[in-house]
Amino acid sequence: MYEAGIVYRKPLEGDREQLANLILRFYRFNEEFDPAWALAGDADNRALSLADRYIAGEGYTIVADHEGELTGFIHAYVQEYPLLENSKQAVIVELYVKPQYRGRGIATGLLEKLMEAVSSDGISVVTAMFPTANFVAERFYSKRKFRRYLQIYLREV
Amino acid sequence: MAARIIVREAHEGDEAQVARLIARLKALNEELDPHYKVVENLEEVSLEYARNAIRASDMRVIVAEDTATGEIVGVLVYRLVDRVFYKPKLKAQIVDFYVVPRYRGRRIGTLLIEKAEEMARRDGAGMLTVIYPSMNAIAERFYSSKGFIDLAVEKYKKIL
Repeated sequence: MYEAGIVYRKPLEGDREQLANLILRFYRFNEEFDPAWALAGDADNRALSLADRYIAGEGYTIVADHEGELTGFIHAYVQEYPLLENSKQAVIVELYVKPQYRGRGIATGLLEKLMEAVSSDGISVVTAMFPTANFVAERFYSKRKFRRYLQIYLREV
Repeated sequence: MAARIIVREAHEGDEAQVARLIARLKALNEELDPHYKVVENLEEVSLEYARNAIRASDMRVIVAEDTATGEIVGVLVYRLVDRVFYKPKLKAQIVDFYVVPRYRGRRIGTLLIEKAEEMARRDGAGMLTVIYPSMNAIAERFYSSKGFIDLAVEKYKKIL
């Protein structure tokens, strides 16, 4: 299902503020699920520099544009496992759609566009990372045929 | 770490900090269920709400304060409701409850609930209840662990 009027594309120079806002909202939401995701005091500035890096072409980033308003985005980086048959994996670290645009298939659209982009670069595996307690993300990926694959344990030192 | 956290009733002067936490709670509810879309002037409305709640005779605002910094890191608001037909006549209904993420896991939520129980008892309430969006699984888990059970159901249908 694709929402009419939504354009999926790479982020551009003029998207800086809007993309940074989406990044910040993504992290603020995940912060709710695990204290280890607590945001830095200057997270809004850091979101801007992250947006700059994504616009400059770091990893894979796709935004959903609805008549100039960015309604969501997805970002993945490439993880290499030299010994594995699937030696390159695209790891989705951020996926966010504004609440008022939910339920319209935008996240699905972003995910599909990302999968197209990485597979045309010869990457055959896509993974997604999110806090264990984030049941919203868990439901989303489970429904889309992702399976539990990697455990990450954390201990503060 | 929890030793420097005190739990107390909010007073005049706490409005801005209480409002900030309430706004975060509402924004979280919006994330969990688009049916809780927040108003454009959320901050303004939250401030007005916090001001009223602190003053109102049928509401209580309890805060958790980090005494090292003076920062309010958790809030609980309950409303005293007359049950009219039922006994006990008076219930204390928790309507807002939020602990800032970096202070989670330090039993601050538990302290807030314990304080609410104690104050509600003093207010003459015979029961402590809570209301939250059904999609909020974080709240669901928390209250279940505290021994809360289902009491009412609210259904909705779009008419506009």
